[in-house]
Amino acid sequence: MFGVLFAALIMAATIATHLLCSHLVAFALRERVLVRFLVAAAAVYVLGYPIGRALVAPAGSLAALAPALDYLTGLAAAGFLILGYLEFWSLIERSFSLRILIDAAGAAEGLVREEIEQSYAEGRGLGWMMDKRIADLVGSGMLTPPPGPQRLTPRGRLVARVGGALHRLFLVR
Amino acid sequence: MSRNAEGVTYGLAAAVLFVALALAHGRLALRRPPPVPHLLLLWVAIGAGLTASVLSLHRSFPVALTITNLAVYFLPTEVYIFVYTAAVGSLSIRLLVTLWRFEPLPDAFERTLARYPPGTFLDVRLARLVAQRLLVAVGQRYRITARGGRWARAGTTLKRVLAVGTGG
Repeated sequence: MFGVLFAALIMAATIATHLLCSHLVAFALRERVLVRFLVAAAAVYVLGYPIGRALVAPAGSLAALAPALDYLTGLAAAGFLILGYLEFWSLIERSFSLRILIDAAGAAEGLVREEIEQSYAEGRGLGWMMDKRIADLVGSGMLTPPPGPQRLTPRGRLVARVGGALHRLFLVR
Repeated sequence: MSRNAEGVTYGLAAAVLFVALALAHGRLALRRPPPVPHLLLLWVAIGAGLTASVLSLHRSFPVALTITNLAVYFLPTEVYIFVYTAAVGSLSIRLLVTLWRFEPLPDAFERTLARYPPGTFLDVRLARLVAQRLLVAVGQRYRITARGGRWARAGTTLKRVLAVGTGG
């Protein structure tokens, strides 16, 4: 159990540091910064576990499993927490439905469909949302940038193939 | 079973059970992608079952073995939920897949954008928010419900705490 607790401790410190930095610095590429924080957290666990275990010398419940297995269960816990924070952050940052709700909450008399379309994301409009998605695809190296016809890059084609296979698996139409 | 095996086996078995039931629910029972809340309910229920089983079966180190098994259960199942929500709900994935299907054509990108005008996604989301009673349609207008207002306030607070942008 030492590995799981060690992973939880590292993630708590990582999240606290990431939040602090996000409030202090206006990052242009927030997603990239977040991913770097999370990669750093994983690296700290991978490299820091042997040192932490040597320093703490766990006993009792903390040493219930053999060190190698304890290391792997801690790695699983770290993976779970890293992915969980990434998902939660992305949901709050990007959620389309949440954005609609926040916009609707700001209009006491309600909004007609066209108003929602135009006022989306504090007046940026739905076109902005699509432009942002496409810019993100270009930024993540999945789509070739303009000018010229925009096409899938090899990475984008790979993700699209996997996405297509998943659509078939999950019966997405 | 050795204590080391007991530390991970139940978690692995629970993860396999979760994936099998999630797939069966969509492919055999609903014959469409199951709503994410269904998956989350299944995820929590199996996690609770796993916790109760390990705690009741082991007299030595029950808490430690429960925690290690839960760690082993949570990682692959969360990866499944992450992949599932991205495949089913992500606009970006949908754009990539559609572009890939149109790809031999010289105007594949334009065709993809024409197939998914921004309003398409809006209609789907508005219908879902009304079905979830977060919005209510009064004539032509969509008004926020008390429940939707709570979600909006929570979302605004979380956006502030996480220092994220306008979003969407």
